[in-house]
Amino acid sequence: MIMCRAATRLMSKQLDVSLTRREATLLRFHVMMCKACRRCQQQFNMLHDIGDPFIERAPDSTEDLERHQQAVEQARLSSKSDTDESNDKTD
Amino acid sequence: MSDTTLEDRYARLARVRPRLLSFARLHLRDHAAAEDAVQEALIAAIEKNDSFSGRSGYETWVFGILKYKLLDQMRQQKRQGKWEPFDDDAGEEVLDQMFRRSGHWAPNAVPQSWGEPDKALENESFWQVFDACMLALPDNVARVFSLRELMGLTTEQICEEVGIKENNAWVILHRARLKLRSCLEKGWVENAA
Repeated sequence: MIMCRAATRLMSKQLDVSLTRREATLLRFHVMMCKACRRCQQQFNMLHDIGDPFIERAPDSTEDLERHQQAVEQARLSSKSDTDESNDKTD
Repeated sequence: MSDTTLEDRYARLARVRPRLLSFARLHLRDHAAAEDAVQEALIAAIEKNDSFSGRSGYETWVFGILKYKLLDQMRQQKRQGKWEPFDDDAGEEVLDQMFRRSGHWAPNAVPQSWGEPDKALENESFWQVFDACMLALPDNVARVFSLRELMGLTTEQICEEVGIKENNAWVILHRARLKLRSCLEKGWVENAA
């Protein structure tokens, strides 16, 4: 039998590496019986996946788009593809 | 590539830049350094425009470039001695508050229901709270969490980057997840209800 504190340690570790069979059994048994730890596990899992939605779904900030357009314009001017003299823009 | 497509790429870069910035800020915890890393990533994305294969989404590709730049920046910060040494016991007292001596959850720390956690990710106020909760973590803890969950490194790779043992990394990640969980619950779930 393990208690909640040890169970959270194992459910965290499981996100980083495979548990031993004994660890996995202890965790599964505890989570089956403990509602609080089931919630905790679900929330750890959500945190574990937070990188992808950040890229795909995080809402755009309400900041001024103009600022970002200017930054892209600057990047464009600093990039090698635009410093080529034959390609110099006069407008 | 035609100019219109290029113009379209520039417009998409401008639209994704706020997210690139918040990603970089979460990771570097330094506004100026984050601006630099994002700017370098934008320049690289423009220069390498032709090498975008279209296999992944354009934004995902740009984020991939940013991740390389962030790892570079982080190594630089480390070389310049900007890091506190890793302290094995830091944060242990927070766990002692979350759990009773018996190992059960402390009454005020029992995880509550978050409704549908995935819905949270589409909510702007969730990301503001997440940002604040990340900032509340000690630098080293946030760094390890970010390398693992935002940058997607394995704990083995993290140990190489930051110079800790794998067992350390698991301990740090366990504390980080517990603290973030609790902070998100206080800041977002309870306020949203």
